[in-house]
Amino acid sequence: MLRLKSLATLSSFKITGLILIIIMVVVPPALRDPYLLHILTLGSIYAIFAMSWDILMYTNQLSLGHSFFFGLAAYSTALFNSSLRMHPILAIIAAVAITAIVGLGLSIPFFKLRGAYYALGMAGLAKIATLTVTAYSDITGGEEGIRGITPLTTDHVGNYYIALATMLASLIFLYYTAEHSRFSLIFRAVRDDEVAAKCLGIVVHKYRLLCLVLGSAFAGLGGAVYATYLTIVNPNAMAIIPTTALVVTMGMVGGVTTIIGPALGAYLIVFLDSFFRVAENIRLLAYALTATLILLLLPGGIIRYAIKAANYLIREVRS
Amino acid sequence: MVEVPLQVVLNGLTIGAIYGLMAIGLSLIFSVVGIANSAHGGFYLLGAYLCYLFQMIGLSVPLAMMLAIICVGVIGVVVYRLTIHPILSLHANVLILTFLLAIVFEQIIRITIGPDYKNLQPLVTGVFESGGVVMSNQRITAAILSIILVALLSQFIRRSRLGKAIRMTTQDGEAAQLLGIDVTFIYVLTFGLGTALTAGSAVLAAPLFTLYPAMGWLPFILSFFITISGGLGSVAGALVMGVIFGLTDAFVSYYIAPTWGLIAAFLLTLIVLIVRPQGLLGR
Amino acid sequence: MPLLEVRNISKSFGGLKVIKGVSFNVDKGELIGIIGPNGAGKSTLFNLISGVYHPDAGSIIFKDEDITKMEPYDLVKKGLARSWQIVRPFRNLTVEENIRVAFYGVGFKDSLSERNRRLDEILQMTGLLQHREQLAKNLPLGHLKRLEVARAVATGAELLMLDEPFAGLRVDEIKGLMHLVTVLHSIGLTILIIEHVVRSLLELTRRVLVLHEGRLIKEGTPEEVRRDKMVIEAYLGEESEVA
Ligand SMILES: Nc1ncnc2c1ncn2[C@@H]1O[C@H](COP(=O)(O)OP(=O)(O)O)[C@@H](O)[C@H]1O
Ligand SMILES: [Mg+2]
Repeated sequence: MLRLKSLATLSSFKITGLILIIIMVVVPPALRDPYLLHILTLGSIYAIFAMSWDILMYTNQLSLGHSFFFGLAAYSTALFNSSLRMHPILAIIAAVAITAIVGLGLSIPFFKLRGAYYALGMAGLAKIATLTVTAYSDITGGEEGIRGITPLTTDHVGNYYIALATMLASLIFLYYTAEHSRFSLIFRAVRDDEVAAKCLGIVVHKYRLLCLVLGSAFAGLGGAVYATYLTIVNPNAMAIIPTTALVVTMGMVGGVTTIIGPALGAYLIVFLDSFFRVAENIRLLAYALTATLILLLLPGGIIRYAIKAANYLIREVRS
Repeated sequence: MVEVPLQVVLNGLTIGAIYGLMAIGLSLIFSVVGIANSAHGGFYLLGAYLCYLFQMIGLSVPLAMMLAIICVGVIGVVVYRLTIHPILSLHANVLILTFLLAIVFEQIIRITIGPDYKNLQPLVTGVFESGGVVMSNQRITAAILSIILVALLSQFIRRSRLGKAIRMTTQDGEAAQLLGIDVTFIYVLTFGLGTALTAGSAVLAAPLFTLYPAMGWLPFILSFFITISGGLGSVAGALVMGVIFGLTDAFVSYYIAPTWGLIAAFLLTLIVLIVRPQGLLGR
Repeated sequence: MPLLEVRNISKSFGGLKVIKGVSFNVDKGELIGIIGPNGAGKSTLFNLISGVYHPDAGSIIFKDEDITKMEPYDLVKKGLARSWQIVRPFRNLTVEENIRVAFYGVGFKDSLSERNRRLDEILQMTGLLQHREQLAKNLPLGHLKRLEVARAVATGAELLMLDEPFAGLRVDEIKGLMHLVTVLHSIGLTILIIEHVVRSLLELTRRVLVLHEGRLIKEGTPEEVRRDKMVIEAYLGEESEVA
């Protein structure tokens, strides 16, 4: 298992982070390129989603149906806004709350499931939910989905900052919870051996529950912001293909159980996406192949190499 | 008492038998090799599309079916040896890897053959009609062949020497190794057999539906639910659960609406999975 | 009143009956050995007492409380800790972190400095002080076996259940570990210790239980046990014998 701390000294880690944040705050809006802003906004939204998938991995909960939470929140936001006429901010808050509550509720049936049972139980859930929203067309608009969600703002820079700020807040919260809180030692112990942890007094299901609630709530945050940003939502947002496939790819490419890795993976994949737009046809194939190769050849994900590179640069600059 | 139309029962039973066969390939690999093959739907897809290609180049329907099954078995062996076997002990990675492989297969088909719907020629044509029941002959044939294949498989595993080696490996890989069984060979073989069976279910079932690149996901999730709720590695359990699934689907489709049939059937199996992870017939 | 009472417990896996009506008592301050041939059900017995599995029948009483259906994490907090025959360290945690998990698990309310003092004490006692920063996955078996004991001790348990702590170790390593067990016993811990053969228990304990095919077939001093006909027969066919 990869540990960021062991790779980077804390100060170089903080310095790199700070530099990156400043660049992200200052540079893209200055370039005045709406398309670039769009890509980065989407990247931030997917980064939130990818981190929410990753926090589950901290307690061995691999979800192959994580798009369920993303889609649930996207649809909830859309319905709260279009049917109940809620202000988009209120709709987002309500959607995140609902998603978190659903995550909490799901911890009961998924309590006993492990490994493939858990992963594919989630996949089944996503499949059922996708079939349901497609079938229930009176309310959800079926295949067409729901259009005309009120955006938070129509300004590119505004949207970019909203997504970036949400992403950064999520990243800081999830990263500290996962890696620097009093839970982080327990997460690592549970990941290595659940039974041994139980026999030392760790109430394992509490930590699994915590991660599931965080994972669903933040997936919900991503999905809700996604819905208000694009102003439409359709069954794809909930479907395993493409949405779960994307999040798994982002996580694997970035590096699992690092929080930061999957966020990087999200930006990378969204960026690649914009390059591959000319070759729309092969983009999913390209991601899946990339992720497969990374899984087989660089199982730690790119974060490991990114940190090495950053360390090297900082050393060079200092000397 | 509500009168149950015979047609609905027969619909459920026939599709259920086919579902059972779909699940066997996954179940076999899961119980012997110990991995949940998320690429199951991908192999299903390959089976259907290879059969389609062979039909397009003018091969007879039975020959196209056989060739497709063999090709998928070989692809299964190669893919297993090159990608899955090296990381076999990392369960989460295997799940993700096979999930990605399914996407790769789907995308390759979409890019090379195209995203639009295709039809597969059935083994037999025509419909059967009697006493108010109407059913395509292909559906009846597919159901019967599914049951025969399942029976053959369980006899093979029970009776043959190779089958015994497979069973021993299933119970205890290390002990089997000590007894001189080449466990890697058994894994490779089982994976090939499992994927070939999956292709077999595809060439039988796909003529009843249509072909499209994302067609594999439903059979995959369905197979997993049927496998687990029927009891891991239990051939009979898979068949029973397949039929329960098929009947639920048929009844809900008939009495409520077709779109809700699958949803209800999925919900039922999801509940079985959650309430009895060891399976309906498991201990 | 005994510290632990095991009353007529049974356990099957599938169709296989592994524990068949086992009863015994453990008094506070005792050090008891449990021996038996491979597959006798010794580890299963520990799994049942520590809550990893639950018996199909019978009951287990600890400090006057019925713990039969309790979960491992609750039992640890009541003062009952165990080690594993096949070591189960948290491989990606350091030695020190492995022990801290136990502190966290039982929810010590002590001050940080008190906890650190306790950590040092346990590391010192188990001879792991120099290795505190090492990842468990890089440690040799001898150290891992001691880490097993260290983690169990760190829970602050009154009853320690050690599953074959000496198995697979060199003679000098066994000596060190035996000394550790004696020390732990002398500071008041009650100890149940599983051994495959009785030899290692000769100097440690005066009371040995013999488990064979899921039943307790003999109880006595190590000398009595190693001369018992039934016990010798139970071990026949095994390459290593009772002594
Ligand atoms: N979780 C389990 N599932 C099935 N069988 C088990 C399980 N745990 C132990 N057994 C069986 O119970 C018997 C006793 O095992 P164990 O308690 O480990 O024996 P010992 O520790 O005395 O060598 C063995 O036959 C073993 O295979
Ligand atoms: Mg044992």
